[in-house]
Amino acid sequence: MSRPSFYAPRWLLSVLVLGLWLISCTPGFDAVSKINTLRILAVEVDEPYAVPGDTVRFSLTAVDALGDSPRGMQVVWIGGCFNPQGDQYFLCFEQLAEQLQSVMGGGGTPPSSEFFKGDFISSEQSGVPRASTFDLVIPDDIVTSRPRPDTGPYYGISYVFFAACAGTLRPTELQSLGGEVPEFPLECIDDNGQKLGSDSFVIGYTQVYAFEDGRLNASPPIDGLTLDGAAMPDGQGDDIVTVPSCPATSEARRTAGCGEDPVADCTKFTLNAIIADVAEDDPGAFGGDGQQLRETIWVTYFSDGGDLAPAIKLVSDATLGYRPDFTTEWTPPDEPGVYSIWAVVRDQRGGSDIVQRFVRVE
Amino acid sequence: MASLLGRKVSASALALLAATLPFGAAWAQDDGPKFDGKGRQIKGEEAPPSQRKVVLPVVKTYAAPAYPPDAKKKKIEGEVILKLTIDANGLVEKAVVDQGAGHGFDEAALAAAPKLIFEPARFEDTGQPFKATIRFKYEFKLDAVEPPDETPKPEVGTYRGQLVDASISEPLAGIRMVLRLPDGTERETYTDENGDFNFGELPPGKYALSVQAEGFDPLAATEEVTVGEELAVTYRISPEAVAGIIDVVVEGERPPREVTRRTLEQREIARIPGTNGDALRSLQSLPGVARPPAIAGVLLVRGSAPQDTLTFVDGINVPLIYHFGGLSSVLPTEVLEKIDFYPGNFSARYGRAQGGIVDVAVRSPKKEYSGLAQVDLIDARVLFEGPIPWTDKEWTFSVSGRRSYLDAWLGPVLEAAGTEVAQAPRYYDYQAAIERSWDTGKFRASFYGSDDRLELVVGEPGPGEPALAGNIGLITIFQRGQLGYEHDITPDDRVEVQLAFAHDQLSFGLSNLFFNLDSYQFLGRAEYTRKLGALATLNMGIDMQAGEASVAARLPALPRPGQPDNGPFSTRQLITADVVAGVYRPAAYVEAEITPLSRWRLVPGIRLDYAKDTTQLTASPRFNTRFDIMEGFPRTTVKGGAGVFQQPPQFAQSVPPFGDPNIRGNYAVHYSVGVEQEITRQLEVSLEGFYKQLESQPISQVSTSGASNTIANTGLGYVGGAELLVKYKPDDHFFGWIAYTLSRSVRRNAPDEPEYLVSFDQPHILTVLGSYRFDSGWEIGGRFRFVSGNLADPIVCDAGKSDCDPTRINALYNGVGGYTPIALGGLNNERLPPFNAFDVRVDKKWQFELWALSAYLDVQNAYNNQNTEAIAYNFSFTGRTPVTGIPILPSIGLRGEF
Repeated sequence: MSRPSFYAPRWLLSVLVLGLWLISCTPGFDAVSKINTLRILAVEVDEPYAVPGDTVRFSLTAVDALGDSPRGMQVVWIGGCFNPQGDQYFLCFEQLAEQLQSVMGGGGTPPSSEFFKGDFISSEQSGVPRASTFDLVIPDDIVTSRPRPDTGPYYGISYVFFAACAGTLRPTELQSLGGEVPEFPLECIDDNGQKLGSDSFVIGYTQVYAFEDGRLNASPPIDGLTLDGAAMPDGQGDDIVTVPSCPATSEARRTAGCGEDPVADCTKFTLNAIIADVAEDDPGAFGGDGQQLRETIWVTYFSDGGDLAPAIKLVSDATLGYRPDFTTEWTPPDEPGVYSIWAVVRDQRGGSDIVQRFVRVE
Repeated sequence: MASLLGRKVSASALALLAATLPFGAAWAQDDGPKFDGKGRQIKGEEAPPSQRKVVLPVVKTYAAPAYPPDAKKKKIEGEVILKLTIDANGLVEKAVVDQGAGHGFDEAALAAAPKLIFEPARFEDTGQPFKATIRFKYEFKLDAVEPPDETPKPEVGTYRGQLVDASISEPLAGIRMVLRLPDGTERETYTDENGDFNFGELPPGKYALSVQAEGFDPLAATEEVTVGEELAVTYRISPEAVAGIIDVVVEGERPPREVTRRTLEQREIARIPGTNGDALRSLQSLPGVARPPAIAGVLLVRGSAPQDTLTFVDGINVPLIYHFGGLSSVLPTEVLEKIDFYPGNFSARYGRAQGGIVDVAVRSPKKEYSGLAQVDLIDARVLFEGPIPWTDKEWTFSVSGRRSYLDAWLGPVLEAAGTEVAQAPRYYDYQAAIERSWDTGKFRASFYGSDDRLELVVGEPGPGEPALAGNIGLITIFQRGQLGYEHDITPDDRVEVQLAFAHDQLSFGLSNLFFNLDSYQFLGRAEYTRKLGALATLNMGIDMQAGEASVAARLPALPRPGQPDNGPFSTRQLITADVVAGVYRPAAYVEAEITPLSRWRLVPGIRLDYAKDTTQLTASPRFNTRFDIMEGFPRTTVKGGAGVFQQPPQFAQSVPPFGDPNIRGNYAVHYSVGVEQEITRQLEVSLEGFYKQLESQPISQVSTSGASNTIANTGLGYVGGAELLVKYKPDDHFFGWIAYTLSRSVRRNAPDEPEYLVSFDQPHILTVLGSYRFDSGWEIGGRFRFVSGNLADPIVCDAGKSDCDPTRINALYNGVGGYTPIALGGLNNERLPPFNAFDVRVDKKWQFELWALSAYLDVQNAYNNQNTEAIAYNFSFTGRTPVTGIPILPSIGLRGEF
């Protein structure tokens, strides 16, 4: 991939600074933490850095919150794309299109194979962590099948694609609208054969690395959530936390402009993900003073009710290390009910973990 | 040597209507207010309080006096000053001798005076004629007649022209024109009733003309007389009250005379709506200049990137032209003498730029004490200048400064919006200079600079960026200590030297990321101009840039192997750099000005540039020409040029770890051809076509392994288009123009890759502006702009378009929690809606005896059009919304000056 090179000039920086402010004042879009459509919250890999020949498990957490109740979701997993040129994920699309046509072109429930798996997440499993999984064997020659680089570590990369559809998936012809990346050769249709959009259909990809030197990466674990300092119980039993609602509607919160705070009078709660200081050294990564850098870890919060601010917090910095304050503030929704809160922790080397907790709003 | 004496009254004893000004003035008769020679009312005890400017009487029919025979016989010369009372019809009602000369001269003058017919004096605001008394001089001189010379006469040329009052575009009569000949002697003549003058036959050579007309700015010009050719020029001088002219030269070469320039007078620049009276912002209303993004203070010239156009102050490069957000330029209008703007095909004098050049000349301080203070909603400024005491006005000085108010009101606004502000946006600039000028040159020492700062405190990380919380700051500073020296050593030799010590600082901080560039450089240029006979002039110069730049930075690196490239930007491994690099970029050039005919000018030149950082020596041959198909009025000129314009890489492109040491410079080949046509004295039309071929453009490329980034000179492209300017030059009431640019700016990243339009491509740029000054002192103007919309890389289609598929999957969820967008088509393939806006400006000036007060209201985007500047997307690229630009923005200002 190439692009015009230019030295980030002063005018661009000016635009960036003022633009950040202007956009922050512009009402419009829902926050990333608000779950009100079909969303994929996490795709975990048990071996983000795999050993060639190992079987790696991928686990997907998806939730549907478009309507009053969740819909079931058809899920597909597609693997088998190794070391595409330039590590560009979209160079796998041609291969994907052929796989999808051969496996799903005839309609019906697709059979599973080495590089393909069809799955289904029921409405009851919506939002449940790791409701769908896929196993992939990393080839023995994942590293050695590509040329050794002039500099840097010798590694291989395996891409895995997945999709969740609140309808029926069907393959399409690979086509390009003129951009560098072609359209993904899969679509989701409803019972009437009409295409469903992104509120009911999510496509994604992830990757697993394998290094010649055998380095590994363990995903950072998340052990739970606390609400105002108290641990939130797992499950929806009688002991789930109960909080008062906040009367401001979702629409009023979304359209609030600069200087307005429609939830100023509401009770807000402090959420905290329980994450230990687990950041590992990042091999070969050194700071300017020769300091060994650690992997960066951050946590993202989601909820299908209320508002979270901020949605994302740093847990461990590459140079500064563990940042103990990664709490967020949750404002309950206006409608009573039982809502989910998720926290996903990630490192920048592909490791991740997810936890789901419930809260009752009265 | 024997000589014969001849009578000369018709040529040398000219009517000196305007020459009465040195003697004091014209004033109205007792039945009306009195005025001085500058049109200012002379207040007496009984004078009414009103202040009205007048237009002085102008000779329509000249009557030459008879030379007294006795005086002629006795070889006596003399001057007679008459006091003439001219009625409202322009007839001489009364003539009395104010300063006699005897010998029959007084009688001869009194006899001739009643035959003079004038254009009567008029009030400037109403045009109403009135009776006035003026002083009028008759000069009686005897010509020295050489005896017949048997030796062959030298070959000669002629020199004639016209002198015009630039403020009203009317000819000036009776003005003394002094010409210094190559041998050091002087010859003088006076303009006639049509403003015409004629020095007659002259040997070939370089002549220095000077005009000192009371009430007007002095004029000095150097002209070349060529054997067998008639040199015909028009000079425009401005009344002192109009405070000089700002020239904006939009031609491709450096024209030597006013006849080849299009000028924007200060009245125009100060009154262009939507600019707050900022001279450099007025450039954005000229053809070839694109509309910049809403809050970006950049100059986009003929489809080139902002960094491709360089800005100079008296020939010394400065890193920016506008303060933060483009609100105003870094030099206030009041200190400018002129702006030379070269959108392309510029002289070999300039280099290191493949786009355009803006060279701002700072004016000389005045020899009388004067000053001004101005306040508006954006900033406040002061200026004070005058002669340095005890130097007999040989040395002058000026000091000025400006500071913005933005931090006073924008800070609270930002805080009310929930943004913690550490330093609200503010800028200031300052200028100080001392100067000594003499007949053949001047020396100036100056110090000037600019300082912009902004810092916001972001309490929460941005969406998807966990490590971006903290401060966002931007600081831009530059300073120049500059010495300038210009000297006409002989009529054929001239040197011009500019030396500067320069400090530039750019600091940008975002959370724990920062980029600090600090450079100290020596900038200098020297040019030697040598006249080579009658047909050619040679310009030779050097242009030096040397110094040291240090970069301290902590920035995200490209993802390393094992790090998905779609993760948060702020969690990438950081590159920390502390680099000091030398800058050494000398250049030399030579350029000839060849005039085989008086109407034809050819300017070939070549420039050599060396850049130590790339170890690259480049040559830039250039050629420009102009040809007057029709000389005089109405002038028709065709012009054209071609040349190579080399540009070294930006510092950050060539210096590791951010840059690639293997990068080379890039360059453009400019071609242009055009025509200029005068329609009336006020109306001029010009049309110019241009084409730029861009070569070796730097392109960032990800290595095949995806693990590293290189910059290679594989890019290329072109910009083509045409510019039309229909301009009505300022008269008593109106000025305005229509500027239209048609262009297309295309790039490709490599020869085998597809073409795409650059993001600042604007095919249609139309500016229509005009300003009308009423007799009452009010002035109202408007500017309408219609510009093609910005280009965008769409990801989400526009739901309002029929071909939009709302179910399209616009992005892929990636394993690190973000969304990777899938562009909807190629680069820059969506044109946003056209920009249009109307700006209004209202001015009012009150003139008092010792000072003047003016006020203005300048309203940008008066009908509050919601122009789309960009598209914003939500986090998952499922929705889009337009980002609109500046809404209606009024500004008011007050200004006092003396």
